[in-house]
Amino acid sequence: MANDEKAELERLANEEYKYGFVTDVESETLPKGLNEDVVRWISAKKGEPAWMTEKRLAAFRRWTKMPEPHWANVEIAPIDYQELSYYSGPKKDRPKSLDEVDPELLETFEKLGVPMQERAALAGVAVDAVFDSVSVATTYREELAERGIIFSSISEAIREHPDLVKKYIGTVVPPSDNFYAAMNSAVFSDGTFVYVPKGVRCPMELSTYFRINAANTGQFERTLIIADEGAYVSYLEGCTAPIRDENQLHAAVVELIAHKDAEIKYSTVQNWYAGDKEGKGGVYNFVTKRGLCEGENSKISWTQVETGSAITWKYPSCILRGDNSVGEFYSVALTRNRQQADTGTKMVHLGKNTKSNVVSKGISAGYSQNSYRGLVKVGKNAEGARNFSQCDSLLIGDKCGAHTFPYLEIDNPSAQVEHEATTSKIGEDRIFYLKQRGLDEENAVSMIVNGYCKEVFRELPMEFAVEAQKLLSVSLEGSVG
Amino acid sequence: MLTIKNLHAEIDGKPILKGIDLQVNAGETHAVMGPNGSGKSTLAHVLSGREGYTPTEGEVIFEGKNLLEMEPEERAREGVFLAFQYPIEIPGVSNTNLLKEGLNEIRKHRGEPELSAGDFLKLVREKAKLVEMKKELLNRSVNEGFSGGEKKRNEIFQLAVLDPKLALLDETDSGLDIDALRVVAKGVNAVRNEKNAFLLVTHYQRLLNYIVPDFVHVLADGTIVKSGGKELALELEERGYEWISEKAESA
Amino acid sequence: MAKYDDVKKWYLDAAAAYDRDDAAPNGALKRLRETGARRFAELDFPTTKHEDWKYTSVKPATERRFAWRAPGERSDLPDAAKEAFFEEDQYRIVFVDGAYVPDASTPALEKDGAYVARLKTAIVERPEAVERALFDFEEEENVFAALGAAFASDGAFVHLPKNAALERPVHVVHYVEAEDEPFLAPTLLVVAEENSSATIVESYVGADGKPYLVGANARFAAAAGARVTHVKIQKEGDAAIHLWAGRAKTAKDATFETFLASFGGKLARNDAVVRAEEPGGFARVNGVVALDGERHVDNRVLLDHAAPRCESSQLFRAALNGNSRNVFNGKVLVRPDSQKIDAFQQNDSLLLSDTARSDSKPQLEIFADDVKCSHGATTGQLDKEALFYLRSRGVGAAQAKRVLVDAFTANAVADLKLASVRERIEKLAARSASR
Ligand SMILES: Nc1ncnc2c1ncn2[C@@H]1O[C@H](COP(=O)(O)OP(=O)(O)OP(=O)(O)O)[C@@H](O)[C@H]1O
Ligand SMILES: [Mg+2]
Repeated sequence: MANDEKAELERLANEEYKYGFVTDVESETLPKGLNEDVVRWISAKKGEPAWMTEKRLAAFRRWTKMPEPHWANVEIAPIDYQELSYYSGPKKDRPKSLDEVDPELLETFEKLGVPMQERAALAGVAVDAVFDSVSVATTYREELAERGIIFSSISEAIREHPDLVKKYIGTVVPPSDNFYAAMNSAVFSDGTFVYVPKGVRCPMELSTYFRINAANTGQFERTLIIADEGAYVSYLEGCTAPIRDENQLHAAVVELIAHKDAEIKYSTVQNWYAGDKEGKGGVYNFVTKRGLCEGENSKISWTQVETGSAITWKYPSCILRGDNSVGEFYSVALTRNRQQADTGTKMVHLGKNTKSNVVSKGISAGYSQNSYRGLVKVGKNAEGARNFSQCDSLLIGDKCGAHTFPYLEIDNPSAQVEHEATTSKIGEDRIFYLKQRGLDEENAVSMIVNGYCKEVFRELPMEFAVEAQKLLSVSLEGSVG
Repeated sequence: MLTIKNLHAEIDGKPILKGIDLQVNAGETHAVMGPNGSGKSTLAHVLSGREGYTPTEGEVIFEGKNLLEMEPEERAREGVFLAFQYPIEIPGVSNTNLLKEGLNEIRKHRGEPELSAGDFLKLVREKAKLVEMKKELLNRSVNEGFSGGEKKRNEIFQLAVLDPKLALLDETDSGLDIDALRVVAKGVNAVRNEKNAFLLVTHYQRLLNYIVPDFVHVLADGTIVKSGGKELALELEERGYEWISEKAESA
Repeated sequence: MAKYDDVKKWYLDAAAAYDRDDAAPNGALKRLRETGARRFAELDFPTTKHEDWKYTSVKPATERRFAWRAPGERSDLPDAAKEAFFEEDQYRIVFVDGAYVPDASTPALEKDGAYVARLKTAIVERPEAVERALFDFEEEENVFAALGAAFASDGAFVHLPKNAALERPVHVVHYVEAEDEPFLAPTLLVVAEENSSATIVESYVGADGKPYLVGANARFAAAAGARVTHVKIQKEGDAAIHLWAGRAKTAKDATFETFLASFGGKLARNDAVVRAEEPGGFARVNGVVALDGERHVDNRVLLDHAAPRCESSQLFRAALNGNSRNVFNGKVLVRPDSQKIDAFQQNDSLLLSDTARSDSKPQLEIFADDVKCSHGATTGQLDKEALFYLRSRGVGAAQAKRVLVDAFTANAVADLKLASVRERIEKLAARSASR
């Protein structure tokens, strides 16, 4: 650690002592508990301006008054929020080199084809020396800056583009939205900020180095993406590799804003640690993701491939306010062992001639429970709204569950809303057909499942799609038979 | 190549095959005929190892190995190919993808190296031409949205690519118009050689005009009640199955 | 909360008083009332936070205190009640304002061993059979069903012994026109033993402009191989609150079907639960909803597959006009190890006016893998091409619309075999939505 950095930390450590708690400087982890001092400390640590600190505090106060959500179709042991730590830097017990990493994890990297130089970072090996992607990132950022695109961490954006952040943050997902959104608004660690100016098409997928960064964004990620009039951006989040992570609770907030004629594509691959076969450990992934199609003809498209986490609870949503705006949701959610996923989308039609399209493919194996929960709401003034939803569930094994809970609330007579869903076992005759052509059971199942998910994979950027397919196959291993 | 001895099999506890004996040698083509429900498809499924079709007695030796002990994919890799009577649709899984996986597995089993992408493509193109498969069907999902005839043709196309030792064709001719039938037969005849063998399940002489069998067997109520040369099929065409069943009964 | 406590106390006091004063010999019913009262006391009136009541407020039912009207007898029969009759009714039980009308009803029937009677009579004549019909169901979760049970005293009873088959329908008619805001709690009990079959029709009709509360309960037990068809035609008055709870269970290879036709009421709610307890059961719960004005209908359905190899089907069709609101809240539940289930669920709504509203919540909850379950929901308008087609053949726009709406709703009763009953439903649907 550089000397001046150390000094800075020491200064902060002393400062926080003032507020009545101690920090282990080396591990940079706050003691357990959440209170106003913790919120202030986090804000100070990030060098945030006063307005941001205030926003955080307001969110915190809100949070203290909110009841914890009641779990619809998810079984969860009660979480003691005062027993968690709300800020943690790099852990000191990290492996020093790849040799110290769990061989099973390395094997998975191998199967997924994760590039050599990234493996160490993902496995949680102490970072600095490991990869030079920082410079890669810098190169990209210069290229983007030429076009006026801002692509930075949210902490940096708060310092360097306070006006933009101030204008947009919390407008789509206000702290009052839900328990975890409030919590995130109070203590968010870091995340991404993207601004694409008027008429600019972002020339690349904003993902290139995120596989690595994703491992370091902390447990309360915050993302804000704005596409100004006529702009286009495609953003990729997460990675296929199982990320080493000690934090049990992840509560991210993602906000997207698409102005007139703008389009945002947001793709996620989520493969957090899911716990062991008996369901011990694993990440609780409680995410609030919402996009606002603010302007006319704007479009927001969510694509997700969810295979990780012990419990997933997320509903990437679209508020279709602009006339003729379009919302899309494409999802693959695979659960196995004791995983529980409750995921889906909300499409809220407010503007005229708004359209939404939902494709959800659930796959349940082992003892897992997999639910689709979705809302299509057509407001009184949403003349000419259209929605089509297709939600299919596939069951592998007789101990798992697949559930479909759509809500259709239609308040305008010109709406055309259609929901379709099927639930079935993976077709034995299909498996036999493939076996007859020489494939083994596992391969046959993986091929059928990948085929079943094709509609969703098609929406992913090329490279990501290939990775996602591999991920699905790897995840299915051992689920068959 | 294939020796079936006193094969009995049941479905859901119901006996369907009641003692089949059959010898198929390399280079031979056998036709299996018989009334609906007599057990022809069951025989084909038992040979390819479909779950639910349970052999209860007898044995099947394929190239010196006990076929009945193998998993379906092992049988496929050993060289048993079934052209299904009702080919199933598999959404999202493309034809070429399936063949690539299958072929590589089979080659691996035979100790041959994987085909390069280029060689594979060449092979696929060549075989597609052989059965006059439309190019766009190659990249479509397996049988999805295919017409009845296209599905059958696809089965023969897969047969040509995978190049098995023993091909079981279950009513590949039904649902084909006369031109398609000719094409399918052309495909089969092109694949036929001294080293492989065919077992054709059919109801019609017309297929046998194009693919001339060395032997014809009549299956009735789970047993082979008569075997003969290619003339037997003609006789059946003329006189129906009644004649044989009666004869079998009186015998 | 306090307000609701008052309401509860009002009904609990009334139930206690009635139970005390009622001198009739009704042992089994008394027990039912006790359980009902206990459950009613335990359960809260739901808010819209309750998933089963998300789109329906119970306020109309709780803001007024309806006065329990003990069943009696009367002789006169209003013409409006007569309109509900079917010519082929084999057996008819008629209630007006909760009072049995002997002159309009058929006396207790015994045919091929089948027994059909007014519940008050049955409890005297067949006490054990009634007893058996009552206590074999899961604990009640619907507060209004519990309320109805707390007052259970009259209604209809159908007992079909082994192999008995009633060819023509049993028809129970409830007509209300009273001015004094009454509360009525009719009970229908159907016990179908092995391989028996029958059709039971319930008609609920009422005069407009008169507030009253119906808290009805129906229970159906279909033994192995039995086939029970139930039809409910509800056209209560526009100020009426109608809350019906039907509980059915099927044994091996038994069939239970119900067709729920809803046209009336300020608030009307059906709560149908069918539980397949043994393999091979078939359940159909269909519904026709045609509404206008300020009417609000809510159909809650649970098809509970608790045994393997069962089949079920739900088809609800709604045509909505005026400021009406329709709620569909159906669930297919497949329990662990209930393999080889084939379940279908569909809800389609037509919005015919600018202010009608539709909320739909079709749900699948599946805990077994070897199943074929599918569901769908659509909300939209009449097919413009079909409209155009009809008009191009010379049919006037209004007429064309009517024809299409009628065809749309009729689809949900297409599987109802009794032609006259089916046609009545079609006619009522036509009249109720496309004025
Ligand atoms: N999955 C199954 N379950 C129960 N019975 C079956 C099943 N498959 C086949 N059978 C029965 O086994 C018998 C033989 O059927 P199979 O399909 O082998 O006849 P086939 O000779 O191929 O007839 P076809 O000429 O009509 O194709 C028939 O009686 C059939 O009903
Ligand atoms: Mg056959």
